[in-house]
Amino acid sequence: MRYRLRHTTSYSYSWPVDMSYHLLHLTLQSGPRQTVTDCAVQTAPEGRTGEIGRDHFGNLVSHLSIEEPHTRFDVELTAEVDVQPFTAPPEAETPPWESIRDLLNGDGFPKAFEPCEFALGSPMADADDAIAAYAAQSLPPDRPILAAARELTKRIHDDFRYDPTATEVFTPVAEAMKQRAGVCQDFAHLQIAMLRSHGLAARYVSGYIRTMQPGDENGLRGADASHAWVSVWCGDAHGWIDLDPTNDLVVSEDHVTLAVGRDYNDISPVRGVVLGGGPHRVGVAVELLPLDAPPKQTQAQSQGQTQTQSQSVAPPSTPKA
Amino acid sequence: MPMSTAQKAKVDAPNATAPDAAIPAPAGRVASEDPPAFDEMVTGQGVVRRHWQPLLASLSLLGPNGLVERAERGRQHLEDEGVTYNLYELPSDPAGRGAPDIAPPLPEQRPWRLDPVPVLLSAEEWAGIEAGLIQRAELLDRMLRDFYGPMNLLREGRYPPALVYGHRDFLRAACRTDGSMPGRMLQHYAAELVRGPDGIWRVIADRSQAPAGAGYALQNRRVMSRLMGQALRECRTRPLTRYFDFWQSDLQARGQHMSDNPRVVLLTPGPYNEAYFEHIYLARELGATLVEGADLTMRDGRVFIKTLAGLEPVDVILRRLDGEWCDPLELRAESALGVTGLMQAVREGRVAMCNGIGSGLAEQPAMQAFLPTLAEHLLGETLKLPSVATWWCGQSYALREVENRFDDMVVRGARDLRALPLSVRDLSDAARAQLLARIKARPGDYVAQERTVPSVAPGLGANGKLEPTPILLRVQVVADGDGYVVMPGGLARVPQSGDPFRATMQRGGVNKDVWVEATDPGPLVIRGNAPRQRLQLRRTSGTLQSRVADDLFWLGRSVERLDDGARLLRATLTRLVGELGSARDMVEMGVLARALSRCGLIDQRAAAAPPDSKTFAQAVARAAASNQMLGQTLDAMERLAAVARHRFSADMWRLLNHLLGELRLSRTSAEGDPDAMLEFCDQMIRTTAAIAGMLAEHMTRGSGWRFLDFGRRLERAIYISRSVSAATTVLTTAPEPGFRIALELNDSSLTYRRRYRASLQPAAVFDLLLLDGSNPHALGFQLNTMSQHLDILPRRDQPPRGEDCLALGKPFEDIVEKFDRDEVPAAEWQTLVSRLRGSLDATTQALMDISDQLTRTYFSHIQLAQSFGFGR
Repeated sequence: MRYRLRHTTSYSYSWPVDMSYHLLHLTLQSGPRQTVTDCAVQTAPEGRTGEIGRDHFGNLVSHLSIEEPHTRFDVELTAEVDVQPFTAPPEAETPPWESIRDLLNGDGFPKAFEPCEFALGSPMADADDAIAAYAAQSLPPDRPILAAARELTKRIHDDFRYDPTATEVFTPVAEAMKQRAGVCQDFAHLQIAMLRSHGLAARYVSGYIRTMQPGDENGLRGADASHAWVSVWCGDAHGWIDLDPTNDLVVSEDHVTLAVGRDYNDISPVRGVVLGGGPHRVGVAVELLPLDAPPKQTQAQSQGQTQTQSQSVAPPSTPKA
Repeated sequence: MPMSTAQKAKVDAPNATAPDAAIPAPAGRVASEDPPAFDEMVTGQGVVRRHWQPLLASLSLLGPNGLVERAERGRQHLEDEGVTYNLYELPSDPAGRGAPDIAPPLPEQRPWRLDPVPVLLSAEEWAGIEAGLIQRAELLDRMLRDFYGPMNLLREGRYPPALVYGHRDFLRAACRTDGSMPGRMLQHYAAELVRGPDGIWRVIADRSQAPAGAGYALQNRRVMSRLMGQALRECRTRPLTRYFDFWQSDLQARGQHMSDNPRVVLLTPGPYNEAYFEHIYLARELGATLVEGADLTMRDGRVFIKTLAGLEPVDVILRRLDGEWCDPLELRAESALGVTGLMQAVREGRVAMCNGIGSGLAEQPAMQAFLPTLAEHLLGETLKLPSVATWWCGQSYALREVENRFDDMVVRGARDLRALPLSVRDLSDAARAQLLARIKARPGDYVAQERTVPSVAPGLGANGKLEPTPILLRVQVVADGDGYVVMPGGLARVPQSGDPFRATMQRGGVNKDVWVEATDPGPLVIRGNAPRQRLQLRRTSGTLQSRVADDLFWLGRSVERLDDGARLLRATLTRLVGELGSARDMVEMGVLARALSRCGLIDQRAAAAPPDSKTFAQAVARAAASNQMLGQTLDAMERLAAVARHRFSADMWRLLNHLLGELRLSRTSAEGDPDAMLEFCDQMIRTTAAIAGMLAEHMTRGSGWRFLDFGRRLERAIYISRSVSAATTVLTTAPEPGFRIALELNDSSLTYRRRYRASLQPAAVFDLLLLDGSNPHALGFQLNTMSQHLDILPRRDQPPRGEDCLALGKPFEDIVEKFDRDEVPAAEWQTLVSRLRGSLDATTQALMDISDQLTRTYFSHIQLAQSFGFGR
């Protein structure tokens, strides 16, 4: 599937900002399942931008400093990207979850040293006992890793209420667990914390989801802002498999990946420190429009998951992020 | 941190009640199977070791009384110098500071305790420690560079990834992402050493973040050379000063590619940090400017220091701030202590950072388990100086070993040196079982280390007798080009509980100087630094940080406000404790009450009460309480003096510290008691006079002094306007008492009497109080001086300007001229008096505006940042 992406963020300040510094995780890159043909990040004021660098996780980052007074800051990402469909391996073919856990532990010296970073806690996705206990129900002995992870995705989708008023950007994951509510960021953090509490490796993925078209029957939640989901490590043979707990599906060609980290804090799209400014308002708009023909119904059905979820939740007119 | 607070509390409890007593072992286990401690001074055969002999000879000459007297002199000296460390609870925030806009009280300052009996080390054994620490610094540096670079140690299975990835000091923002190796990360380093019963020195802790102790060690040595100079020479002790020359040159060298004369700054978290004293001390010793994060800013990718003269580039940062607080943009967002954008400047190589951000990672206790193999792998050498035996429980074989010998173990967090260790033997059976269960649940979070009995050295006991005390060494290492050098000697600490694992700087205890015997039999020549470029002669140091200027300005205002307040109160109290009765007394008291209220010293309700009422008397006697203006001024003065301490010489600071200490002592007893309060007023006036004299005599006439003096002048001008204005309220009814009190409040009665005898006339009084440029208590004098300061300070193009100050005196020239007649008719008298009062009140307002302008012009870039786009 080929997409055109537009993601704008606007900050308006109550009074002038003297200086501002931004760290942008806003540059798409090509990966095994997506090819970026065009990508540009523009800001106003333009400021001083350093060279695009790579962060510890391999994401593209840019630094921006604006050293003149301003009352607005606008940043726009535009891109064209090709996304290949993905078909998950049959769940039964993935290794038992305990074998993955043992690989990641490796008696202190795991062979899988890169994924093991994502098996350790991180500030925004630290599990408490309640989270670990919730996850344990999906992790009976010898269950294949993907079956277990997939079930957690579904349980989060079924048990948790989508509610943008329930949480804020900095709500601890334990709080979202208590409330059984949140948005895509919370659901991703929850599933990450659940998996990690049992020694499994999970990453936080930020990105975008296909914007609904008139006539779309399967409205996907999370299309009006940047979206977030989970990537689970399923062993050397299968690598990382992306799951979207907000929409209860295996990520395929409806998602465009922006960045990958341990949690939101590692890859927040626009970070900023400003001097002055006072209270400010933020506006975000996202559009991910397919450039090809609208997605064929058969494709969505072939995955089997998107279909089942659309009945159980709120109507498609209230997308989730 | 793996250890819960409940658990910490449990272990703390026995120590808190009996810090020095051996803790009785729980029943059912053998109590003391520890071998006897190694004795630093005496061999097993009871012979005094060779290198201790000269010291013992000196000590016996001195005798117990002599030694006690030395100890007392040392204590006095350290107290006068204000050598302290700040006591605070183990922090989550290294500066111990909450919201940045609220100034919390300064933390409790503990005096630095120094035992006059040093620890002596022979040349041979020192050579072993020295070589071992140089190797260890090199090893730790290589490890850090790998962790933040190619990560080969993790990739190849030589170091457990969980110890790096799961560490809060592994700062991902500091990682090289192109697989290249970063430059040296460990510029300075310190190790804690303990000598076991077998006589072998072992490292018990590594300090790689911003190791404290070098400054304290030098301070100790300076005191010791006063107390025990003779012995110091006879023991052929190696000097410490060269170490700082090495350090300074290495800092300079790191900035050489950016500037011929690189600017080095020492970045401190500020006066709330436990080692702030040392930061001041080191900055001086190393020729670095002491800065806080708020003093620095980024422009066009470079770091600058905000000075009065504008922005000046910074080339090298000696970091005393923990890495994670250095940049709110890329590290901890809530940090108000760092510099936004600093990480990027470091990454782009536009500022040199010592130690590298992220260096705290090498403090993890678990590392010690892997050093022998890493030394082989990275350096191709065997590890010269062993660590205390360490097991990382994340490996199953290690966990088994730990379980088998659990009673001999000290358990601590695998990653964080700051978590308090637990000695298993001191735990109850239940606590032991609990601890073991916790370890098994998350084995990778724990290490166990072998219990060790530290060696003992003679220390000063009761009545000047020598007693064996356990010791722990803290040795400093600094980079010297491609290698490292070790400070010969340093700090020995006496762990308060006798447990070397639990001794930290924050927890205090007694310190000892460490004397290392020189190898060379020849004279101890101290090599100077390599020849440097000839210095350009300068008359200014040019780099007053705006924040410091702000502090000095307010220090000046506080000192003066204290003086004025004390004078006003003294005038009132003298009358109150005497007999009030005559009409004249009551008129004067009315003026005083109004002046007290105008200056904010008592509230309006008390000022309105009759002068002979209880309400009034109580308010006056309680004026120095901490919720009153004067009490707050005293507090502010102490805080500002501490903050601006680095601007004063050691002698000045000693005097200031002494004077402020005396005031603190008398203050509480004065509260509420008019006689004591009167006494306290005298003391305050004497103190401010001493401070004024000290400033006049010893402070260089640079911008710092100008801001301080400007503050004093401005405050005094406000006081004159207010007190004379209060006196004008009685001029229509009782001019003479009004004149008299105005002169008295402004310390001008004597001058007036000398000039005019007893005759009180308005023109003469107001000329002396308002216009006279030679009277330091006249408004005109203040305005002239303020104007001169403003003409010399930079940025003369912005308000406040010198001429604005001079203009404030103009209306009074006219008024005095009008008064200067044989007889002023009653009607005109009244008009003139109210014109005078109007002008005085307008002047007060104008002076406060000038203060605001000054703040805007010179201190305005001190503003708060806000951040967004962050999670927790």
